[in-house]
Amino acid sequence: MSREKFMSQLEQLLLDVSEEEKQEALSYYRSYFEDAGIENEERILKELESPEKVAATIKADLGMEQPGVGGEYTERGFEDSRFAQKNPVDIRKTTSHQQSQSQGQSFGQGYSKAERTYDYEDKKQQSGYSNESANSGDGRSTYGGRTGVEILLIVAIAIITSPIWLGLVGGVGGGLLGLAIAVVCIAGSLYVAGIALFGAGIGQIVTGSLAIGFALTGTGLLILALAVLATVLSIWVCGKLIPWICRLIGRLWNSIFAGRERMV
Amino acid sequence: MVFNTGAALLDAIVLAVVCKEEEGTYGYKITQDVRQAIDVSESTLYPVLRRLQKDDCLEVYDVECGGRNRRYYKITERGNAQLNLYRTEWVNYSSKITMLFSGGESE
Repeated sequence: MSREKFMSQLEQLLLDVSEEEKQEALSYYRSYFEDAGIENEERILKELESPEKVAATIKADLGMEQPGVGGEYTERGFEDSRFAQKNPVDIRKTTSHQQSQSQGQSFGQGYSKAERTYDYEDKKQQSGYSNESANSGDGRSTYGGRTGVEILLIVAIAIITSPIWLGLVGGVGGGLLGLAIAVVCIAGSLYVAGIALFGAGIGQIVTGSLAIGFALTGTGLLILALAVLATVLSIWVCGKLIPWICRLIGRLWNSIFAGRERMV
Repeated sequence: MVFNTGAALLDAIVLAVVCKEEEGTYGYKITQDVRQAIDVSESTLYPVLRRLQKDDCLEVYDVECGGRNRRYYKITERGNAQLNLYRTEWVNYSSKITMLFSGGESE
C-alpha cells in the first residue's frame, strides 16, 4: 500500500469523527510520513499495519464505540482488547489468564512485534488500555475494591451466623433498654412515694396527730432525697453508661471483624 | 519488553521527551526518542499526544519547514507540573521495586 492510499483510506475511515479530530489526526500522520522521509515510508506503513487499525486507535481514544472492532465501556472505563497485550514472552503466555485479571492497563507494546494475532473472542477476559485516565488526572490506578466473591462470602457469613448475632444484639439491646427504663421508673416511683408520704404527713399535722404527721412528712422528704439521687443515677446511666457500653461493643465488633478480614 | 507500559507511564515518558526540547519537537522525532526507552508502535503516540494536548500539558504550534507546516509540541507549565509529579512517583515506585528485587528490607 502506498502512503497516498493509506492516507485516503484513513480519511474515509475517519468520516464519522468530528472534523477537528479528523484534521488533527490526518495532519499528524501526513507530517509523520514527511518527517520520516521516503526511505522510511515502507517501514512505517508496515508498522502502522492498516488504516483500519490506526483509525481504531484514534477513535478508541475519543471514546467512540466500535462494536466488534474497538473497545467498549465497562465499569472499569474504556476497554479495548486490541490494546491488551499479546505477550512476546513465553512464560507470560502460559499464565496470561490469571494475569489478565490483575492487569489494569496495558498499553500494548506487543503490537509492533511480528506477532499480531489479536484475539477478539477473548475480549471479556482482558482488560486493556483503559481510557479513564484521560480525564481524571491521577485516576490511573487499577481498580482496588473488594471482589464480588469476597462480598458474597461476607454476606453468606453474616446470614449463617445470624442466629448468634441477632440473639446477641437483641439480648444486649434489650438488657440496656431494660436497665434504662428500670432506673427511670425507680426514680419516678420514689418521687411519687415521697410526695404521697409528705402529703399524708401534712394531712396528719392539720388533723391533729402531730407526731405521726411529722414522722410521715420526714419520711416523705427522705424518700424525695433518694428520688433526687435516683434521678442523678438515671441521667448517668442513660447519658454515660449506655453510650459507653455501645462504644465498647462497637470496638469489640470492629476488632472481630478486622480479624476476620485479615483471615480472608 | 516483559513489563507493560501503562497509560500514565507512557504520558510521563512523552512529557519527559518533549520537555528536553526547549524549542519544541514534532511527532516523528518524539516517537523515535520514546523508542530509545520503550518499544512503541508508530501509531501509539498520536492518541497520547492528542490527549496531553487536550489536558493542556502540551501546546501545539505550526512551523513552516520546507514549504509545509510541521506541527510542533511544546511542554506547558501544567505539563511540567505533571511531569514533576510523575518523576516523584517514579522515584518512589522504582526504588521500592528495586529494594524488593534486591532482597533488601523496606522500613
